Amino acid sequence: MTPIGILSEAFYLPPDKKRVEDVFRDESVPFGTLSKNIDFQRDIGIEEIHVTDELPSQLAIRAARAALDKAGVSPSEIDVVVDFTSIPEDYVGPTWSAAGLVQQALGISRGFATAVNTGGCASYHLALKAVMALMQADSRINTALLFAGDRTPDLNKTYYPITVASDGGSALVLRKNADRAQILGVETISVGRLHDVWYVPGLQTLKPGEEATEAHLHMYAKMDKFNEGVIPINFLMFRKVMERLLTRLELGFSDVDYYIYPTFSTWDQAYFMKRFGLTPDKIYTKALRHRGHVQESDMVINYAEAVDQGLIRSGDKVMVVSNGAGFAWSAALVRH
Amino acid sequence: MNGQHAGILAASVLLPDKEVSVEEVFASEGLAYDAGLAFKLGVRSVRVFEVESPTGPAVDVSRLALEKAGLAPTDLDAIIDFSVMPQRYVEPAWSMSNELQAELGAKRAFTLGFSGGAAANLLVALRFAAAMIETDPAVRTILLAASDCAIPGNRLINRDDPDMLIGDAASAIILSRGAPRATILGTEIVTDPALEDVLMIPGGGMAHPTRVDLYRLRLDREKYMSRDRFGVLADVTDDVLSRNGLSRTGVRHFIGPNISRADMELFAHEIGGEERAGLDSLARLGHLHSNDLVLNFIDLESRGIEAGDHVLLAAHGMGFTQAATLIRY
Repeated sequence: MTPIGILSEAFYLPPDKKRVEDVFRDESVPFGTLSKNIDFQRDIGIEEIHVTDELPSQLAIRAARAALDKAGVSPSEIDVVVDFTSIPEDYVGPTWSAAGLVQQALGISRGFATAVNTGGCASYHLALKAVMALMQADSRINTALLFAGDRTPDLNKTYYPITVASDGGSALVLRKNADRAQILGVETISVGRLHDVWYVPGLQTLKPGEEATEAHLHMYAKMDKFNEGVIPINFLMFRKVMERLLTRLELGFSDVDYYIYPTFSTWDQAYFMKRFGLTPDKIYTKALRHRGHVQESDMVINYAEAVDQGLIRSGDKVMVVSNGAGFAWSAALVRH
Repeated sequence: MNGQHAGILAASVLLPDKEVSVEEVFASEGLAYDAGLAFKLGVRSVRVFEVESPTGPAVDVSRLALEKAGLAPTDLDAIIDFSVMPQRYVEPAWSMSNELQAELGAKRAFTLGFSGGAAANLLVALRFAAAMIETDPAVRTILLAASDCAIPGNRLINRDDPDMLIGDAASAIILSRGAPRATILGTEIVTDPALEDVLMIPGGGMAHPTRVDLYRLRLDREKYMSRDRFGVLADVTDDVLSRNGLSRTGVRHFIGPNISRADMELFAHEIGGEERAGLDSLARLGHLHSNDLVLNFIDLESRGIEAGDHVLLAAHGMGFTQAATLIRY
């Protein structure tokens, strides 16, 4: 197989911030313990998030530009553009995606643009998987731009009982035969019965006579289904998907040098580390306090920050792992 | 690359039972019936799903395709949604592919969908699906499915001088490594960024979250007419053919979407195929987004395709996504 590497990963976080205590004040967030003495508001570990009034596509454009600049790649070199945004975009999907708008804004004159939708943050891995297959299969596709742009509605920053979301965008440039950050494999396991644990109702659910409000674009959770369906299997599925990937690559957990994991909460990070026996130097967790969760972009932003801080070094095998509403558990192994 | 191409093992279309005449469509949208417009559109009636969400028809049509292919849901390695219209919940936060996986019991399959390709969305999905089958040893069989229901009161696009009349339908294709027929030889796609918003629903997204009046499928007529859609589609078609050592004279059958009488006549003239192909389906069903391509493919199969025939599926995606797929029987 032709090796495919990540030439660059970049992100854009809007400069404005909102204190999480103000988020909780403005939104209807339950008080009290979730389980094992965890109090969502007290223990979340996020102090502030990035917020903006810009449209999601504008965040994506800024991130995509940054990724091209960082890679030293001109728009004319891009063969395919793939949007992997996982929350509502400027206009309704799947009719529209921001892929064409980003193609236009960046002056990418050839190739084609499309979007992967899979429900939730697994879109990062599914986009990687799909684009890698395309690049392997087609000798003319050498360079790909993947991007996401996420902005939550003003009063829907809290994804109770999981996290608090920042607005932001991220992008990757993939290239065939690149030495840097070669993607050794991507694995994903979908559990479709959990498809509606998280959902955004949209105007298609508007009842006759009901007033449309921005709450139709809020993310809702079916708590019973979350507690009964997701919680019991969450970390089992993380193990399963990582084991499946490592087995395929004839590697073991001991071969993994570093982990990139979503930025949800203190207890989630702590539990992941405990379950997989990770010490703090093996996983990037420090963005939680000042950023919170940036949807599927967590994987890109955390990777970029870890590289910038020297936590990921050349040759390291990095496990980029995530779950995503929909539901899917996914892992990618990258040799940096 | 494993050296084995993907082929279409089975294809199915599901049409709703309820039939609504073009006169009734005009009336339901508050318009006086205009026989001249109806003639231009080439539509006499459409079928209308009366379902809670588009997922139900997607499940039913997928089961039909699996049965035709002689496969069980657990044989599926992936499920790809190529729907164009809004689904049960807002995408991309939610994807029908997951609910489909659960309802079918396709426990081994991973799930995804593609967005923004209009009538060419199937061809985008086919390109990625074929690539996965060709390059990933763990992916042998993929279900591609779509289910599209018009927004109530929004079948005539655009109301004042309609360019198309939308019907409802669901369709499914089973793509498999080494399938004994309908081998996918290649797909060519280009997108024209200047037309990125030519077909969209302006309300209901983050730009206009509460604008119910804008929650309608809209074709930007000015942009739509500003480009030589069929000129680009001809180039895309010729590209995929030349990559396979063919020219259009080597194609036995051409399949395009049933957008309108005028559009289909242009397709036949500029790309190829019989002028009247698909016009009967258009008259009975209206435009069905990417489902048109599956419908016309099944219709062609029923009329007979000889071994070795080349079939070309092409769609201009309203000018934004232009794509062509070459199949060999």
